[in-house]
Amino acid sequence: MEIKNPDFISGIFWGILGFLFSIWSVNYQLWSLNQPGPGLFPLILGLLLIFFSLLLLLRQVKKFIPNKQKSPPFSIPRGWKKVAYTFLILLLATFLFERIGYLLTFFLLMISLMLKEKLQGWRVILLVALFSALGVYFVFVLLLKQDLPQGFLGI
Amino acid sequence: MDILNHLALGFSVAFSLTNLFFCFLGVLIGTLIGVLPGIGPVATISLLLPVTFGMDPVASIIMLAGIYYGAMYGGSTTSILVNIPGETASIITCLDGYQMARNGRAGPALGISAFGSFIGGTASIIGLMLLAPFLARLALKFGPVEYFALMLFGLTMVTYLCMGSIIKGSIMVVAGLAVSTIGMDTINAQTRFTLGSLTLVDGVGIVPVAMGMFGLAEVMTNIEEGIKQEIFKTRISGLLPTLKDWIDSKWPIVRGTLIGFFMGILPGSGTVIPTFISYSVEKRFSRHPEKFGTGVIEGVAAPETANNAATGGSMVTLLSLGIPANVGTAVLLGAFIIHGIHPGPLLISNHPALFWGTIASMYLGNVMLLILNLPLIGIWVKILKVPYHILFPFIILFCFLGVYSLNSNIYEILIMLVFGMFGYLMRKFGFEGAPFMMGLVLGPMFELAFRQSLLYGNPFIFFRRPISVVLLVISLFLLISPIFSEISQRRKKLKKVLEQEGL
Repeated sequence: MEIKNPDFISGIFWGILGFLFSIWSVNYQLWSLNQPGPGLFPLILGLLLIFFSLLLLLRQVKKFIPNKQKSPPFSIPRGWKKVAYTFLILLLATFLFERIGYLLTFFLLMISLMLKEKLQGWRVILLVALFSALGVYFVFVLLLKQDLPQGFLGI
Repeated sequence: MDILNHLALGFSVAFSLTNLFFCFLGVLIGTLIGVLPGIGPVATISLLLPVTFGMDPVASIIMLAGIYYGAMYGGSTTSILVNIPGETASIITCLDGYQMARNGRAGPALGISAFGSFIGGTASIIGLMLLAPFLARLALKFGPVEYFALMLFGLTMVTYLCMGSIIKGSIMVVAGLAVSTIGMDTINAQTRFTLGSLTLVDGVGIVPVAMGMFGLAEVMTNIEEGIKQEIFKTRISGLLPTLKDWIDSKWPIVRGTLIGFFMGILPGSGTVIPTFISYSVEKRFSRHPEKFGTGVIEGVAAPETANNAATGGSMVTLLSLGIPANVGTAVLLGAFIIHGIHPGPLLISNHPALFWGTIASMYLGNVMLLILNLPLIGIWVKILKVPYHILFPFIILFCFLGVYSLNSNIYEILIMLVFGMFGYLMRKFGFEGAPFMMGLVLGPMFELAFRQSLLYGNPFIFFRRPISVVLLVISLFLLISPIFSEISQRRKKLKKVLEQEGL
């Protein structure tokens, strides 16, 4: 899939975000007792976001912009599945971290991340994962006395 | 005389065994992450910030500063041997550095880059030492109005100097400022935009965002695009440049130092832009500009000197005004604040041991880097051979650990993930992360200065103070200057068309 005009999408996105931020800011006091309230600065920022996103959208109109300055078309990258996989694995690791503890989480995290590339044999993957989890234990827990969640393993 | 006394104090601090050790550790880690593509000083400083909690603030700052300037040394090794910049400030070094390696001159390229870095780095510390106290004295006269104008100027410079469009840079700055308003309002103590989350009451932390936008987003981009590590196989010998190499490089090193230092002071220029400018300047000054890109030593000496000189320059505004000049110093500012120290005009008088100790440690660090870089080149080459598919899980693991260690808060990891994805998508759509980060870091100070200025009761106060007026006019000019250049280009085009049609 190819998006011919990525700046148009960006302009719409930031415009909507600016609009929502401005509306939200108005809920806070803008001015009180002769001094600026907590909502004034965010409101200005929201309006600035709308202003700049409008400029970005205006630039897409042909007569406002020479072709050479337009952003190239945006294609969904071929490696997007790897990015999505990594992101999901990290979300899962975050969910598990305090439940099963750092040792198991990091062991599984390393295996999952290296597994995707399929460039190493199982033995190498398991060894790297094991040593990295134990390395965290020695360096961060024993040496640097960091407080990491232990989970049911208790270490 | 006064400076010599201060410097003696600095060296007495820097020469303590603990500080020497942390200086060495900082420059060693800095070189290592400079060598490794895919992780930069911003993510590393953020990562190690929690580790420094229990440490003495002076030792912490000495180590973190060492990582910041040490990374500039390491970046050139990867550029020269692999044709991949280990650090963004070494992008331009790839052009001639890699060609020199292909021509069998990897040794002199690595050598001149280390010597140039040493000269540029050391000269910039002398500049920092002389300029920072002067600027700090000047800044004592600044009120909130001047500070607001100065920060606005800094933010405008970031957008003006960013590689993409000014509009996109401005959007990122404003977005960063907007995110900085999340949490407790500093004046009224009212919570804003927290969605009822306790984590967000303290605001969105600099570290999770920096780790997300510069650590995770970089990893995701590399995973998606794939890094091809093809180390140029050559025997690295003759690291000491020849007399001819020195003659060819002496002026590029001098010019690189000046460009790097003064560009480094300018908020927003970072360490990347000075390298591009110094390379272009050398090409213009050269008697054989056509040879640039084919492996000339000037093309390595100038940018590598400039990026190190820029690190010293960028420390000037951080230490004297409390305003970071780029993302690296922005994260360093975060480190200062975490240790309960507010950099600014009073830093030198309130914390002389910290200020002069850091400066003295930078002198020592540069010597250590020179000694480290040349003999250890073989080790760096071996490290470069670690495949990226083994390396990236470790980077992710460290990001995870670094963020959690901050406050033992799982939601901060979620913040890192969200900003990691945000940073990745923004890169894909041509938006840079640096303006966003600058907006986020300067946001609370910027809002405070803005609101304190308005307490004078006159919204036009910004146009009544001379320093503020000058800075605002320059900022406005920077923002609208692209319009003028476009109009002039169109005029030229129109004139050409009219001439062709014989009108």
